[in-house]
Amino acid sequence: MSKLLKIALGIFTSIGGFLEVGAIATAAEAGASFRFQLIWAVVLGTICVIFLVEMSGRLAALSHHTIKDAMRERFGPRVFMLTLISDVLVNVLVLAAEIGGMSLALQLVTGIGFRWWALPTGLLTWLLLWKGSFGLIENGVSLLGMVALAFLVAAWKLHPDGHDVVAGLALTLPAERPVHYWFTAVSILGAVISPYLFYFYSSGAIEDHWGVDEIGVNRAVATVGMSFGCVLCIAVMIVAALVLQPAGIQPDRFEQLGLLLTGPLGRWGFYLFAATLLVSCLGAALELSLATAYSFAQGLGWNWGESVHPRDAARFSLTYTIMIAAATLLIVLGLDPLKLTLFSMALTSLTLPVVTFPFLVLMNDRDYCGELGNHWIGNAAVIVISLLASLIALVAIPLQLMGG
Amino acid sequence: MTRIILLAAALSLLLGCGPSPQDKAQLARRTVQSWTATVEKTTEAVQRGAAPRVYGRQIVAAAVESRKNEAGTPEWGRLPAQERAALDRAIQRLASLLGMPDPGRS
Amino acid sequence: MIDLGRQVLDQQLVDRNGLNMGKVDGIALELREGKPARVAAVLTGGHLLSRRLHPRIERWVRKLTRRLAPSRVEPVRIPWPQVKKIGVDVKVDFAAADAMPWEHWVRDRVVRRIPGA
Repeated sequence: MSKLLKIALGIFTSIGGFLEVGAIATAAEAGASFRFQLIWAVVLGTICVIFLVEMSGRLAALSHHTIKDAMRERFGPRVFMLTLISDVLVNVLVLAAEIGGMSLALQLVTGIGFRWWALPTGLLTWLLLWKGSFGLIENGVSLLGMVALAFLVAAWKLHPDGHDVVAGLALTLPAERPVHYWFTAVSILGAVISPYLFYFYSSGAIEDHWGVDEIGVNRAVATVGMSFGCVLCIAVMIVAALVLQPAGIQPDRFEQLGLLLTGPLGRWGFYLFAATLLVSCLGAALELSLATAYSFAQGLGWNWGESVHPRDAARFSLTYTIMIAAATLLIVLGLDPLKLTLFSMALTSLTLPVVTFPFLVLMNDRDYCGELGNHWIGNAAVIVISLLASLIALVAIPLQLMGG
Repeated sequence: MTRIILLAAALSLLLGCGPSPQDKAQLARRTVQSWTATVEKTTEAVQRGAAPRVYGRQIVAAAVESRKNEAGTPEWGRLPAQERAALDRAIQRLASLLGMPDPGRS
Repeated sequence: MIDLGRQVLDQQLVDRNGLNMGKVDGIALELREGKPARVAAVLTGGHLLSRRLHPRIERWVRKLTRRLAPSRVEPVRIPWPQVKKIGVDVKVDFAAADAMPWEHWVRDRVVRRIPGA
């Protein structure tokens, strides 16, 4: 495949993967409650994730190891197990949120309750993986994810004040509801900086046999792809700020988000919102399930791969099967999808240092990255943002749970 | 021993930071106003064809359920009567527009 | 000169057909009278991993393994002469099929039973 085509495909899959239930729900919540004040959180998260995605690609290209594989080798089984447990706990909740997102999209269009849709959507996710040829599916789903551009169109149609939008780039303190403000901020950070995203990315890089030549492509894909995704996320916040906030609508149930695109885009908007939710959550669900199974497989030495047949990778296939089943169960049992989404995103923020710090050690280790290890800027950015996200989450989560 | 004291101090600090009765009352008002606005906006969207009726029905169901949850809290009784009435009116309007049975009053 | 800790332990094992066959979970040293110790074999599987995590975890894993599949308790031993190349991973002259009892167990007991496998 020509280099340009590779870059283009990489960018499209990044855009498609960026916006999922977490990004949509947190950005909408932020827009409805605080207008443009939390744009800085999206941008800060994007900066961090660009560094992390680029690093994971570089690690794969230089050391021919995936992140999890290298973590077991470099730090031994204890540290690896710690990161694995943290991954599994967070991922099962996020996966449940994605299945909840798909289920709600179908509820919005059909009127049949989301709990009924959990089993079919979980089954669909599982079937797409079980039957293999994920590469094709991944590209297809991500390209379909471009339907999210509807938010960009809607945001533009609503004519936001350019000054106000730019002002949102600076961190400003809220006039009221500080707990909700900071909880939403860490939810945004957790939605944007998703570890499964760069674990998945590094696995893909290994499967495509990346080498030193791919480092430039890697950097381009990471930067452009994630930046586009960032713009989309901000577009969701702008739409929520101009549609929900003036009416005083504070979403506490997912159904209320159905109003987001009906103003600027009419009936089309309603269906485009449901489609965006369905497709982007499906893509994220597939990636999450695979990323978790990859973590097990790469740390324990199993056979793994996107298009590998269940017969040839039994434990790997069993792992994602159990993940999907557990996540589906949570939605069938009736866990509130919106609350689950916001909470799981905040939890992701809380556990970021567990994920990023060992990763940074690898990126500065000569044995893995040779002369092309991390620049101090990358290290500093990731450390500072991870710590900030985690500390704010530590305070904001309990306060939010207590009803702040 | 010191661990217990520290834990107790941290807990009381955290508990002290919990929502005050005024905060809770304000939150309740905001929720009611939010749902009233949601229902009204949905009514307007259904009328101009921007939202399908099936969505309108979901909003009625969601609003009724939210109202039921709020009515169970102590703050509900202290809310201004006209705000509770506004929510009732909005829900009834949307329900009758969609040909749904009367969802009752709060 | 090989750094056993860095270059062998916890590395990916790859069999003679290029298939993954687990990680190097342990190294067996042979102690000889009056002569320096010698690497006898690399070990994988069994309860080695759980032992390195915590003795209580090892006990629990042993109990579980004994109840489910009593023949799989011991780790697989790959004699040092069969270790062919140490680099990005550890390539061995061994057949993955002989070293992955749990993989086969899961395949036969679980995966085969699910339609479409």
